[in-house]
Amino acid sequence: MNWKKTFKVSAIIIGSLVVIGGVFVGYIYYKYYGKFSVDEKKYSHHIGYINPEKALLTENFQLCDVGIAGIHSSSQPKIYKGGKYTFRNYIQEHYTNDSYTDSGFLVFRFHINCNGETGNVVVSELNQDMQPISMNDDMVQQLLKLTVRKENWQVGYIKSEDGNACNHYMYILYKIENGELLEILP
Amino acid sequence: MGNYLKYYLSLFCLVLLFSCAESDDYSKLSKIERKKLSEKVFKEGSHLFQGSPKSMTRIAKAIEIDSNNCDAVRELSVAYLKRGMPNKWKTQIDKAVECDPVIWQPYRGYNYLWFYRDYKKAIADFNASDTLTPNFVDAPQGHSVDYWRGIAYLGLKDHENSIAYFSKNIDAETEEYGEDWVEPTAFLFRGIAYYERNEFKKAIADFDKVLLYNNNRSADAKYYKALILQSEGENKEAVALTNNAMEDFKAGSYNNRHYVETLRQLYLKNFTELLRELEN
Repeated sequence: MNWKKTFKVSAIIIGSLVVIGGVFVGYIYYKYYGKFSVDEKKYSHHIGYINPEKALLTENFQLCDVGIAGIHSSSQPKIYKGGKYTFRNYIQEHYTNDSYTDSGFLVFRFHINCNGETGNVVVSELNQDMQPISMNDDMVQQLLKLTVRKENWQVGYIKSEDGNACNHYMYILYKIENGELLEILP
Repeated sequence: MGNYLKYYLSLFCLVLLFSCAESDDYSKLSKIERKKLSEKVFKEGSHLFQGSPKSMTRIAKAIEIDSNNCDAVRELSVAYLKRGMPNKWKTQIDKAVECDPVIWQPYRGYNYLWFYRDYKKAIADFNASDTLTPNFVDAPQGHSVDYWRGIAYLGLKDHENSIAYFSKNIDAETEEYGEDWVEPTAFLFRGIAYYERNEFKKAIADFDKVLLYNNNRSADAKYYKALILQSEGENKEAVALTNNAMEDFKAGSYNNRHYVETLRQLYLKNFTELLRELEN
């Protein structure tokens, strides 16, 4: 038995298989992901990304070192502690229309970290045609405070690979007419 | 061994050759070529995570190649819709409607209806589709505009119009395909409209249809039937039916939607509160 030759042939076969496998994996990666470029100017992050430097309630708030669930379309419905029924009731019972005249959409987009704390809030104030406006600050602050209350939210029903609770992305949209809450979505 | 190295080098060159990027100069292409290329770029990246930088870039590129690729123009709006960014959604969906109103105006109505509960704008878009396609009933997201109008009018608490549009939808589907092909929630929502108008007999007939076509499982139909029993003072029967409805609810047989809650959506507390009322 020529061990040297056997070793050489084996090395060539294994080497070839590794190269072919590498090329195949590289090709698949390229075809399904790598070849798609990114316009860094227009789309540097995914849609809905919250930049903590431009958000509210960032002091003493930190995302946990795990992924963020719900970035595809919010974390409803399981994120509401006690269900949306409880959330809606709490907001409706505690919100007071202090003769506000605002109409349109008030949207809070925010994070809930793995400990159930809320922060990184982005506020959008829009008229009924969805154009940016400035709403009554008192009304906005009142709804913000009611919305981000820690007791509204539950985490832990989605876990990361190591078994820890995930952070969550969530938005709450209030449809408002003359300061009255017509709808709470999603 | 030296020969093998040559082969590896050739293989590497081959890979490099196939890795060459496509040219971004589309001006030399004919209109048809641009259309085809735009569709190719758009479809090739359809597996990418919606709203990701790569996905958004590829959609924008498809539109850059052919601004008449209305599917791409619409697709650019969807991530904003689902993630609570109405102003960005509105800018983009309006472009899609301008691009192809026949397809995207009724679809925009569907978005107004569910994601923003703007019933009047939703109805305006559904009505526009009647004018755009006079002899054809459009069906954005799989249901006829008459079904969607029924829901929108229920949102406005205009029960008369709501019932009229659901009836139109139910009659048309029944005539063409048979009653068992009618979307069961058309009966449910029409039943709710009748219930809210205190037309209990007609409401019960619709809730029974829901149960008939859902193997006797529907938390919503049973809940409303229990409410009717309660209003008639039949509390014992109402308790039994509410408990039965709660079982259906826990088993997942209740009306709900992805992304946003549905109209008149019920939660477990609706059942427990009704039970508390009935037992007191």
